Amino acid sequence: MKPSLYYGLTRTFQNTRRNLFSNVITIGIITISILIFSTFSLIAFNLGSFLKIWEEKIEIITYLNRKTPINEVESLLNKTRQIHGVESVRYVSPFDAMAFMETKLGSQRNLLDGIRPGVLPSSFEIQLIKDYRNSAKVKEVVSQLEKIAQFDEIQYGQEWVETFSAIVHLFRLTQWVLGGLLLVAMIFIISNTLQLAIYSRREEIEIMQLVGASPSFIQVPFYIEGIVQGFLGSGLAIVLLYILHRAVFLYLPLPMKEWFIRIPILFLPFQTMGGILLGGMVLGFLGSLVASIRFRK
Amino acid sequence: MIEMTQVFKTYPSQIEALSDINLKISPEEFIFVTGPSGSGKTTLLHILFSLEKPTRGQVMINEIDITQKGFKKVFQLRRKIGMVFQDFKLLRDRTVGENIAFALEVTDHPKKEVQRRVSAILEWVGLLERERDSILTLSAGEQQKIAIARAVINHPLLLLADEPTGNLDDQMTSEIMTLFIALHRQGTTVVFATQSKDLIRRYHYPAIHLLKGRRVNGETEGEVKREL
Repeated sequence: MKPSLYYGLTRTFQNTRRNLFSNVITIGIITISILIFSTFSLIAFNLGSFLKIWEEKIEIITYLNRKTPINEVESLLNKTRQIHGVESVRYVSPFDAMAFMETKLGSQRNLLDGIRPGVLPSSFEIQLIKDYRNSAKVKEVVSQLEKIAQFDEIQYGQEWVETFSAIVHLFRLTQWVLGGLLLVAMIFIISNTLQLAIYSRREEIEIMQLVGASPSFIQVPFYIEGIVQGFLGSGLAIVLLYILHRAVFLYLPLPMKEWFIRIPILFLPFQTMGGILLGGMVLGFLGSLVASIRFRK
Repeated sequence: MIEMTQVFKTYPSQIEALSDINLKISPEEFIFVTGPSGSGKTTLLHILFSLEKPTRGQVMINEIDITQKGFKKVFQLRRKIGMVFQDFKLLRDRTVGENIAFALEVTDHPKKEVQRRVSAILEWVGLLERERDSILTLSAGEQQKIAIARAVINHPLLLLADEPTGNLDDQMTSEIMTLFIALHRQGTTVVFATQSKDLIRRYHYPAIHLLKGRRVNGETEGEVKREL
């Protein structure tokens, strides 16, 4: 006699109503655990986005030999594009360079009076594909570029790229280690909370067994309860995190607010929120499953 | 109907609760299991109810070997066996009616039938007017009546009672015994564990005597003599 889903849900609702206090406590603990983990995920996500913005800025500039004829530029562009790791190449003529400098100098552009564009070298601005925007890979591309005789000088902010790569590496390592530890702690707390919740109803379970309830009749409502508690706990955690996220902007001092306008603090993407909700439900189910196995033993 | 063959039960602490128990109980019989504390009465009933497995030996109930390895239908067996405990084992956060209905709900009975049968059984035990009261408002004897009502609501073929009158006064003991006798007359096999010699003397049913886990007084297999 297998309980139908409707019957399982009805019994889950009855159990929840009967054990309201225990359920509220369980959901509260799940919410707090997932809130801590989600807060970490939000911080990690924003730091990741911040680093990504900086990562976009990693590029190589090669200055062309002044004796390079203009009709060779196209073939040089093609040759550069062939190099592994190169995403795009833009030719910057002396006139473009002059226009750029004028824009940069703004009101002080008169400093350039009397300077002809011809004194500035032509250059290539080379954008790299994502995997090549780190110190080791940049060097690989640079070594290929150095083989091209027409390039006089190659710049890629070596020191900055190395520091940046080290920061990214350290951040990713911290993210995995800290995230992993938090995840383990969260699984442990949620699983034990659910086990305690089920243990507090041992008398009811024992009587169910004594009067001939089938194992599935006893277990299925607990599994559904675990899933519902996981869903509600993680949903509440996301709502609380969103409120916290908004509150940070409301109560930030003005200078900090201006700073954050330039570097936006984003909320978790929908996929991550979905993942947290799903994770909460899976944890709820697994917690109940482990608890019921331990209870049967 | 019930056959125990060379049943032994030794707990991990090396306490021998049952030793070489052989007995046969025919359908519709009423049998007392008696002996002092620690004689093995509860262990014997627990084995019959499949709450515990014997260390050795075979237990057959209605030709089903409940001691065989991989016996998974314990819950189905318990739907045919009712058990009454000395400590009642009732749900303290439920009403009288809910406690009895619980046994029907967990065995998937329709709601209407549950209500009808609960009312009928409460009337039988004389507590219909207490249906909506909390179980905690009942006296010990009344709680035991509810435990009996719950044990028999599924019309079990076998009713096991583990010292159900142990904590009750004479008046309530008589009332409880009247219920058991009525069930027996309706065709239910009753195995009734008690320490009370007075009860065995008063009700003329056969008795199995246990002492330190062994049967005493020489009853032979297939024949339980009446001990007066």
